[in-house]
Amino acid sequence: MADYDVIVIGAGNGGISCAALLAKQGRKVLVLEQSERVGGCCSTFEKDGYHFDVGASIVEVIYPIELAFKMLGTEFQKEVELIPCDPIYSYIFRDGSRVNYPLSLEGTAEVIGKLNEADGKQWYKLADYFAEMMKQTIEAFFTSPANNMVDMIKMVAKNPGILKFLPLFATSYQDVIKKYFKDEVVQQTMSFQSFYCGLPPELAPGFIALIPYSEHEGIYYPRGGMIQIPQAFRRIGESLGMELRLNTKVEKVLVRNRKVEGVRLADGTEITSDLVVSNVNAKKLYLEYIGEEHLPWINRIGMKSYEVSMSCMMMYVGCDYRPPLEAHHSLTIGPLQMMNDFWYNEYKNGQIPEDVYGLICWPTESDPALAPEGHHVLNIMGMGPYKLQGKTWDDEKMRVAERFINELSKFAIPDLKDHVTVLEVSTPLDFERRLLSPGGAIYGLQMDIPAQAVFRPASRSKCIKGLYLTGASTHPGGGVPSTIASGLIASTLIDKYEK
Amino acid sequence: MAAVRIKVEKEGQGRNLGRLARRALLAALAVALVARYATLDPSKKRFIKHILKQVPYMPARYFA
Repeated sequence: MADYDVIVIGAGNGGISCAALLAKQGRKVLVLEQSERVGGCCSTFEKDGYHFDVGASIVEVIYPIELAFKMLGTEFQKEVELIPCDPIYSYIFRDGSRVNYPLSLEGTAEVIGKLNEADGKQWYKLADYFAEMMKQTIEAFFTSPANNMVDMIKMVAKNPGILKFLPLFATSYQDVIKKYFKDEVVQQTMSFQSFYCGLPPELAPGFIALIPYSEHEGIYYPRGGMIQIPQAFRRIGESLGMELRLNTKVEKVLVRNRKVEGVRLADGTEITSDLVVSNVNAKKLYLEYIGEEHLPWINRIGMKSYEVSMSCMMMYVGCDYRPPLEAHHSLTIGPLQMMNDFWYNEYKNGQIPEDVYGLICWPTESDPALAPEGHHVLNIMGMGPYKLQGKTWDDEKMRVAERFINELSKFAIPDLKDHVTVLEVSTPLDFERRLLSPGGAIYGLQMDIPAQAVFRPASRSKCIKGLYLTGASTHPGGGVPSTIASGLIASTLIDKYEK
Repeated sequence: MAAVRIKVEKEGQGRNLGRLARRALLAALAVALVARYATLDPSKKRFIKHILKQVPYMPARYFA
């Protein structure tokens, strides 16, 4: 008899939500997490009284999260206090000028209209289009598996309105934005979001252009930090008998005759189970944890062909003043073409961009308790390739971080460099080391069309019996709601196929 | 017998014509696609190339 019914590798959002749901099904569940805390990219750490979010900085499109908590017999907002964020973005230009988009559609239309009257009206057209898309697709996309063509046909049969949005799969994010907006400044404010799928505007698929709209349906910050979301799943799971072991690294998934038998830990201990749920990057799982020798040739080819999503560097800044920002999220942006040029000229060539642009998250704007009285926290995400040309991240990280802060002090956050009390830096190498994410990828695998849905590693493994996948590298993809949706989908599949 | 032979020959010619027509149609389609691609702006071409580069792996990914 196996030690456990299910072993879950990784307590990121996908793994921990799935584990809690499986415990609710009455299964004996063991979660093995290699780090000292749950959450993976969606966690929070403390240093000198400041609380820093590791990667994820807000939560939106909360439908799948609400559904997961409902399936656990509770409510999302009972377990986690959500603080609404408004404005949703403050865009900061090189000359220090700012444009803030409020939560309301009408307010945003007014702001855009001041930049360009025609584009102000076009905003409503984009909003209507993507509101309809969300209505038609959200439930199907976040709750239905996409393992094979039968799943896709069922998804479409349940929601035939999805078909109207198929053209978005044959066009780029950039083309969608340019179709609606002619003004270059307006285009700039809508272009950064393509990087949320790990690609520049020119290469990201058109359906990602949903994001500039979806944020207006509400973005929230969990009081106490992003870790509150996985912590809530942990709390509920443990109350249902789920066991969690932190600081416990899995070295291998034990497979015999293409069926899982359990796992082997880094210390050599073997733990048996009938089922394994992996929240690990799918490439790492199949090629390293399972091993190529257990994979059919076609799976080997498929798995090796995937590209990991982009990497970034994070600067965690504690400061002893109130930074002159205007929103929970600020973006330092440049022309749309600059985003594309960065990708080809710098990112792909292992260069750190000279131009400083990225996402500035100011969580103490929403939750002052994350820092000592009168102090504030900034989590700054900057673009950074995984492999540097002719240099190493370990040598460069502090120099790059200080340059970043100096530059931001000039136009985006005046005086910041004189008020830094704590500075921690995570490079793509650090993400790889701490989160076991190959290439420091922040969204698992790239989320373009040839790696989506049925072409993404399946939630229920097609070649290893008893193996299920959650997390950013399976359907639906990366991001807080998507990874939790993956946990929900995996648990539903296990309930269906593994009685 | 001769009538059967003529009928079989005519059917053979019909099949050949059908095959030729299909090949001509495919060739015309390929030419049209290439011509259309040539008129696209560089950005769209890069998007298409990015997708096409991965298309050969899609069958293998379907089984992943």
